[in-house]
Amino acid sequence: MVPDERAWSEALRSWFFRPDLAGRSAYLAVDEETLTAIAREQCFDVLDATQSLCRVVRYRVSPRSPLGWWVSEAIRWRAAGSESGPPFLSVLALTVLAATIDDGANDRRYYRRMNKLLGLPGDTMPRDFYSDIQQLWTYLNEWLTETCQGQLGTATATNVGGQANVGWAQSQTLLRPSDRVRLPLFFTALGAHPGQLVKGDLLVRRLRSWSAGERTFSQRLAAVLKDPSLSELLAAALHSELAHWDGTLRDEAGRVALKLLLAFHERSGQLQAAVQVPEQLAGTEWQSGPDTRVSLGAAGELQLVNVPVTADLMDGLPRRTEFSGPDISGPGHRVRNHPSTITLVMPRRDVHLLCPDDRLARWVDVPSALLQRPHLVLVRSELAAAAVAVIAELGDAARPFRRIRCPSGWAAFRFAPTRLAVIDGPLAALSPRGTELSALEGGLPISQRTRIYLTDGAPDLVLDLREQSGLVTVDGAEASPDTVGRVRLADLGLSAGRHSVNVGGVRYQVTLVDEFARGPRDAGFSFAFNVRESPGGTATIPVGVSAAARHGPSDVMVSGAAIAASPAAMTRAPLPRPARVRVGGRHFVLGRPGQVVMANVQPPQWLRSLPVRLAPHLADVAPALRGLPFAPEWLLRVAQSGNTVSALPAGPQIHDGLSAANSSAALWLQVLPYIAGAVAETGEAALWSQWQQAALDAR
Amino acid sequence: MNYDTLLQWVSERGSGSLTSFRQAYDWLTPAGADTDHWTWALQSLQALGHIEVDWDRRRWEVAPSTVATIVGGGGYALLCGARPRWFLRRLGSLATDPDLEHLADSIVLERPVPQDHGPCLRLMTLDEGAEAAEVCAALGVAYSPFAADQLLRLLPSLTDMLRAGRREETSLPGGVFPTRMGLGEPGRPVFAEIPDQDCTVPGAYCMALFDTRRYFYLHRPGDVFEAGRGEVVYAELRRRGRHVLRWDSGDGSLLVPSRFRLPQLYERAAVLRTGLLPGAETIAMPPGPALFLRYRNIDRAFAEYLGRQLGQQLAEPPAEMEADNDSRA
Repeated sequence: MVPDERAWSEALRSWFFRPDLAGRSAYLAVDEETLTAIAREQCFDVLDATQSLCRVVRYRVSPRSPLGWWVSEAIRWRAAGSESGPPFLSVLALTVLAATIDDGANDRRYYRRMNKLLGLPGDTMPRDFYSDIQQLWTYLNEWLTETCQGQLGTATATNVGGQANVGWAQSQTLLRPSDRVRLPLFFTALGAHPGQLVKGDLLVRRLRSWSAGERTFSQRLAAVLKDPSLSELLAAALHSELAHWDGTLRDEAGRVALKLLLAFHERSGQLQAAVQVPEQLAGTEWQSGPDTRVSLGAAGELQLVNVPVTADLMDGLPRRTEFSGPDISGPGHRVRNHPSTITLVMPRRDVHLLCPDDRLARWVDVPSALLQRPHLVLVRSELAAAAVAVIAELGDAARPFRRIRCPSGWAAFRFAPTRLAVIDGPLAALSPRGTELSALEGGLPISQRTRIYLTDGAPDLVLDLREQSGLVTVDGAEASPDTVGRVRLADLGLSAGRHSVNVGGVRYQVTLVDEFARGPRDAGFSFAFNVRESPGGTATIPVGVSAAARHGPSDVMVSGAAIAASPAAMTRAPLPRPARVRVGGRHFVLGRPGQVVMANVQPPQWLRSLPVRLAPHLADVAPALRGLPFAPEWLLRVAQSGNTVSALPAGPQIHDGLSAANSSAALWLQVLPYIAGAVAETGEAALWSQWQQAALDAR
Repeated sequence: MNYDTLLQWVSERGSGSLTSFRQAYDWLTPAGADTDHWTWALQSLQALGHIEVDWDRRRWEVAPSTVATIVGGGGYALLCGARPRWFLRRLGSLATDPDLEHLADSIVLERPVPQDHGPCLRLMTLDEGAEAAEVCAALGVAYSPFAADQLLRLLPSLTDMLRAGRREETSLPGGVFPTRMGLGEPGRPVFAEIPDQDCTVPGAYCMALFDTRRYFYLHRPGDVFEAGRGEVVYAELRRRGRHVLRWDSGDGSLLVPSRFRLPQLYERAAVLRTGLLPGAETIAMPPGPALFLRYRNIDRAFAEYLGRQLGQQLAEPPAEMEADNDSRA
């Protein structure tokens, strides 16, 4: 179809403001390349997309009020409830396109290009442009924020810090789509968390040093970074991008991309590709060509993927894959509206750092070096000499590693950093914390995402190596870092509650809690056994491998000291019923009438040797029964509170007569009065009464 | 190292990755302190019945709060599993609890008993098991009468433990550093490198990754079992006819060479007899001094049953032991 002005506005809306951008920054980031892509996607019958857009817009432009037609349309649209897409995106797009001038933007250059696109003469601001353009951008922001509630993306247009009216357009073009794709890598290198609030000017400073020597940002962004007048706009954009970042990598259209990591299997010397499964793609399968099938597991899991590691891949060349199912929704699989294609990409880096990772039993990519940990370094050959020098600065001399089959153009070294240093440029990742912002580290986190910690486990604040002179405040009070740039918040005696930590341009809110669990917790991981018949009776056998895991009901479930056993299992393990007696007073073991020995009933030895003095009130009887000269029947306790007896179970006591000396007629006569007044425990009274009578009769 | 804070964190948080446990442990370790390896601490918390670990998924979870009674416990019960604040608070304030005040005279939470290398032992005075059951039911926590003895009797034999991990593959898997169990003489590593890389000889094998290790028992070529370290070590000891467990009748304790630490659940059964981790002591005996773990409150019947399940005959320790206590390696 040949698009008219309305068709272009709708096409721009569906490209730049989409449901998958919900909650994230949305930009009307128009450039000629993007217009071509939009025209292709919409099947517009045009030879030159930019010319097509210009033509339909110029049709509505009048010299007396160049943007007047769109302002009128916008007012009617708002009055009707703004239910359709904004009818003025076509003209806003041209004002943005005019701002995509790489050789620096000043008013005159901007208006010259914009007027040309609109079909107007001259290089000055068109009539009423000041108020009209402000009105249209404001309407767009209000539509995104109020009508759409951020569900098609959050508003980003602003003229703060820009060049008056030009600032609106510049705010949409500071970051090209290709730049925005790389921002997650920048944020990761900073150690920033999704949604973190960091002052924009700090981010601009760090972006300057991070991108030094890199060739991967656009010339436009390079120019913006050098232009102080655009810094404030860029700062606001970066602040917003980080605040709305969801932790994923995306392609230029803003769709979730699958970030490939390098993995290295030491025994085979092979490089492989791995992924950490993003939540949005968990449980899906993808096909790229006849031989490459990628099945993704549960969200957050690290897994290998069948993608050959080539020089092209390591140069950042994306691979498209088609969805091949299945659409799973289950535990760990939260796929709902998955895309039909995704991009697999290993972001282009000049240096890869790999650390041992037990999850894959391989060395796996990490964003930057970790102090005191062994690393495998893969660096582009042209930077190898510089890398060797940096490695020597940060630790011991680099050791070349040759038992690795890596693509040509790369060199490999072993490296264990022992020092911290600020390194700029493409090798910055070699320095532990060399690129990272001030961060919270360690502590006893209940939830790292929401920054809830135990009160006794407040985290440490680790200062930014590059900006250590910044003031550190905790709840408004200045705090002093130690000599290695660390503030141990746990030593500040913070109480339970919310606390604010500020350092440089980075702000953290930390919540400390004395308790978090609210009630009893069911068994999660357990050992499970089933009962089976065996030649010797019954036996228990492990369900699955003999390790704790989540199991369904079984005959025996053990979690910690909690044991649940079926009746069949309990036949194997009847509850022991050890005879016990209160300590204190005097104890006598009685056999048949006339048989008595004094028993030495002591609390268990292990309890008496504890570092805290305890007063056990019960003792097991069994030790007192060893070596008796007769078969014991009753245990008599004589105490001030009264005399009691309890029946002794028939057991395997050995009656060897060795203690006969303790048994005497004199002792029997001495004990008889106690027997006469002794009371038995409930349930044993009748038996005792019978024995007692026999004993008294035998006097 | 404050193990009580570590247990409180585990109890309040509930679950996490092994990495999170390691980071918490490292953070609690004072700089330069000579403390246990983090996996040793993890294993100790498992033995005490506080947490369970799924090594395949590399995750831990706190075990349910449990009141466990003990044979030879002097009328005390142990608090095992999770010890969140709410649980300790309610146990410590029975007198003001409208549902449980009638038990306040007979159930008393004792002062914490400190122990090395683990969180404090928490004991609860009880008159009757029925009262413990009642308080547990009211609080919604588990009651485990004579947990150590129950557990020991319910555990599968060593053979059945191994069978559960039979591998479909007939060979040992690849690892970074394959090692095989040697004679296990004191002072020498239990698992030593295999000079000829021959992994077809029957025996116990350890395949190290980076942080963790996997253990295998090769019964005969093509017959491979994966299990915990303790299981494969005792399988190998049984194959060699070596009996290493000793029972000390003097104080009723089980002595286990520290290099042959018991299979996990068997160790848990022994530890739950007191709620205390075994003390470590060096004992001079032929062929030379060796480090032993002493599990206390173990009667002969318990020790013999445990030994039988592991293919071990009990021996008495030397008549005159020279013990150097608490010299943990």
